[in-house]
Amino acid sequence: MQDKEATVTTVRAVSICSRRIASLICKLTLCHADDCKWLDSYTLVCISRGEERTDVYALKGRLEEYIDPRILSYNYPLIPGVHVAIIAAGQVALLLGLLQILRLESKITKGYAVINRQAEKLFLYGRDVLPGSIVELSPPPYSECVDRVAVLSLEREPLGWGRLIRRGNRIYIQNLVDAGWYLRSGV
Amino acid sequence: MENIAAEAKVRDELLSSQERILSKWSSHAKEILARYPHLNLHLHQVARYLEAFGPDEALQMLEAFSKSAVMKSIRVNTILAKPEEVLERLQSKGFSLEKHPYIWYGLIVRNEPIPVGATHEYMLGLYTVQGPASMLAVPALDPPKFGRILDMCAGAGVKTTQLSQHSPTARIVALDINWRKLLALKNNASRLAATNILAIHMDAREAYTLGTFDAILLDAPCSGEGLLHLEKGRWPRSIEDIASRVQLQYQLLKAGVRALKPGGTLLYATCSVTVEENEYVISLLLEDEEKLVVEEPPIPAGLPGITSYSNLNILPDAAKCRRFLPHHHGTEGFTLCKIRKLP
Repeated sequence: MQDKEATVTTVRAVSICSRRIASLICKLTLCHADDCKWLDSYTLVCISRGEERTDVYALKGRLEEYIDPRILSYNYPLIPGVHVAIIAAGQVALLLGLLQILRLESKITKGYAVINRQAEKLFLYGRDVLPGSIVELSPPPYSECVDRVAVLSLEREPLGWGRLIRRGNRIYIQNLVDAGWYLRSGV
Repeated sequence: MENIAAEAKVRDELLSSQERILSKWSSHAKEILARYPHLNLHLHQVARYLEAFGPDEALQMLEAFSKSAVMKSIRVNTILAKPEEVLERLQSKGFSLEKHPYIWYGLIVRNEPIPVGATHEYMLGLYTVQGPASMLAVPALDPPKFGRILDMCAGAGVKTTQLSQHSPTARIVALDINWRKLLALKNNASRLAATNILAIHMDAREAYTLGTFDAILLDAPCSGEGLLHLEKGRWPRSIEDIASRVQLQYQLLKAGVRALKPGGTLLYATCSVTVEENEYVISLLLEDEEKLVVEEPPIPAGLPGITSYSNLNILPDAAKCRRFLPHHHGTEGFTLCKIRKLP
């Protein structure tokens, strides 16, 4: 669910994200990092299409340092920073942008899987990770993390997000989104 | 040029100039046209090159375009990686690379076993593909580390993300009239971890509604005549094509100046080698706006701007613009002019 961007003509409401959403992003960060201090130096901006979908963006600094917030009421289509999450139908999809921010501002210390070189190639082509390709696994610490892991290369560079699938005593990683998407997206 | 009469005057000037150029160079231009059919040139175009550069230089330029003698380059994303690291990683995969001659975080790709835009390192945001002369626009602007920076025609955000790596603590506003290009910018900003960019889908001629900025980059829509080394860059440009671009470029420059803080700088860039879209339109602007000066950009390369061309009025200060040409620099055709608004 990395992105199916709506057309320009879709009606959107743009606002600073509520405390509820900020708190949710913090909790999801804590699935993979020791703290969510990075949020202190970012503004989360939410772009909502009614109740259907909310796109969450993270922008360094405060919004008013970029533009007068009153401009939001002019309904210019906006991209306010890095796209980090999509909230739709009660589900949260974390995006590649959040991984890049965690890489820059924090450190991934839990909720991750390191995979071998061959699996890295396949994962970046959109494939899942087979059990024998997992070199190191730190399972997500809380049930709210819904078995999501940051998939890392042997050099611990973030390759994408995955979900742990347990079949008997074997663990697979379902590919949720990978950095190869940037090439496949066609945009 | 805020009304139709003024725009018509510029169009007439350019058409009249083209007529003079044709009467001087027509037969020579026809010989050159016949020599380079694969470049898909217009007679007007060849005549303009002869007028701007003289026969020898014009031929050398077209020969370089014809052989695609333009370096391929990548820009290391210094937010996430060091040039030495990217160099080593790509060399281990069979790439042959050299340092960019003018910019410390640029690498020239001499040989690629796979497309350089398809590696894991590209996907992870360690670098991006960018033309060797295009990469000089941001250093030429030399934007401040803090404050507000505007990228007026941001497109897919290649230069916008370069602004971000140059000034990661500044606040960058990026505009484009094409929403699909801004979607590409969104992806590039995410891939390259450029977290200080706010992009707006709007016409950059309304940029003044966003307040004033400390530095502005205007990579203006242009004829693209500097891209003749590319298959997609090869289409015939008549003087009417050029005139319509000049009108838009002038409107964008006026809007940029209006949005610029006193003391701030605006960098005007085009991937064009025409005098009409560069020194001429800058001269029009300077004549119209008292508080502007052209400055030499702080980059170690480039030929001076052209100050004598047909019968067009071009100010001497246009010599401070910088031109890049394939047969001199091994780059795409590119022109940069830096303007400061006096306090």
